[in-house]
Amino acid sequence: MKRTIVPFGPQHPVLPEPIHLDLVLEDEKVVEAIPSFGFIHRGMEDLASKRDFNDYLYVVERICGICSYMHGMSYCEGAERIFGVEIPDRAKYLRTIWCELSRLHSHLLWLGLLADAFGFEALFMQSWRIREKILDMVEDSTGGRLISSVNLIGGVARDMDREMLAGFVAQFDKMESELRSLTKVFLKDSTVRARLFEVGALTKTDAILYGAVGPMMRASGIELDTRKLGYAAYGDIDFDIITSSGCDSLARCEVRIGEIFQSFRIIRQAVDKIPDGEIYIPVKGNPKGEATVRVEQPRGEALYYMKANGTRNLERFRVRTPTFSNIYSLLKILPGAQFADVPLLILTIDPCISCTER
Amino acid sequence: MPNKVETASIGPAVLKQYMKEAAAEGCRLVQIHANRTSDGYQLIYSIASGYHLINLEMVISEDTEVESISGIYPAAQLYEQEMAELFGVRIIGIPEDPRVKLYHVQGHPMK
Repeated sequence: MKRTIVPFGPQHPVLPEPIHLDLVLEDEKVVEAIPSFGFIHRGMEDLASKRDFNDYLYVVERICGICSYMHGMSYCEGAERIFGVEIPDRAKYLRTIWCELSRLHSHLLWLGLLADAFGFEALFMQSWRIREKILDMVEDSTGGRLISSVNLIGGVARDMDREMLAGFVAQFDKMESELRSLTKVFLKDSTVRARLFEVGALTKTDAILYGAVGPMMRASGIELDTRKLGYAAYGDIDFDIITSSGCDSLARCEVRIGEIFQSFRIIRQAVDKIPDGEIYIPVKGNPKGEATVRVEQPRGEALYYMKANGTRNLERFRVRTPTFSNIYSLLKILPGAQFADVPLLILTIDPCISCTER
Repeated sequence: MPNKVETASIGPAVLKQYMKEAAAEGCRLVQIHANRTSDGYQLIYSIASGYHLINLEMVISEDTEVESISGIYPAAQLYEQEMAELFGVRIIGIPEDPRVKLYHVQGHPMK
């Protein structure tokens, strides 16, 4: 059969960020996808060796808008590990709460984008309406909607008082109830299921070989969540790892929805258990040594490698973002798919090209 | 669960065999990256079995050729290409498709 190459992106309505795929088609069926990105690579890893390690924290936060908090926190965790300092317990709980608020707004953003991709405008609006309340909480507690800048090497820069925390939890009941109705549409509605069920299957073995991480991996039946490593206050908090054996796009949706409810559960526990006390301990001097940090960002496991030689600049800073790791899984699920499903399949990995183009 | 990372050294000659065995045991390739050293590179291959992470460190000279492991872990191709484009690490066996370029840069900016 005659093959046609259809260029997809870097400018495309479903892709707010630039990634390009050459889709090789036989009629309407994709037989191969050849990726091309790097259009906006910013050389941020290299920049770390030219900036003061304290100042660089504010650069790290700008790797990505949606994962901004997580990037900042992970950088601080790495630096704290090199310095060998233990931050105050209250700071660990505050970091955990902000991490989960980030996960909530990221997953709700994804649900909205997914709904938009299959043309369900009302579902898109409702997802983002609920997300807005989470962003309000982030803004109230940090001063910024996306770039929070509350992390410091040695703790956090802002505290949340009892009243604020109780106010957040008080809103959760209503939000959870609204989300239950909303997510029921994603999982049960026949028009939505028709677009997601058995579309873009990634088996458990392929998920390992092709480097899938995060919800993409857990939707292929792999029970792994780096929050269980116990960074921040996760070691003291009970939560379930949401997995699915569906391996398809619906399973990825199911996992992210499950994680939204787990995030509420984690924040509730953190608010109950948060101790009083300091939120920051001063860390002086220049770092010397190396550290590898893994954290569970909303899009999956991210790995940070930091190497310091006792000067004010890091010798090497490396960040492997979840999307970078999920690209090959995307290339695996595209062949065999219908051309019309391509935007949807790209979205199911929850791509963040800003992170990838660090 | 402690967030500890084990480190081990590995040579270019045994890399491929080690990775084959790791893949057969169900280990994940988490990432690969290069660090610049005074006379060459330090390559770090991070693999994980469950939550257990091992950083395999390989110290090589500028001229050393390292075999690609993309035949074992397809996702390795992106990491290898990144090292080749940004650092100039000589990886042999990366599928040579000129369309799959990562950074479209001239030279090796992090060499």
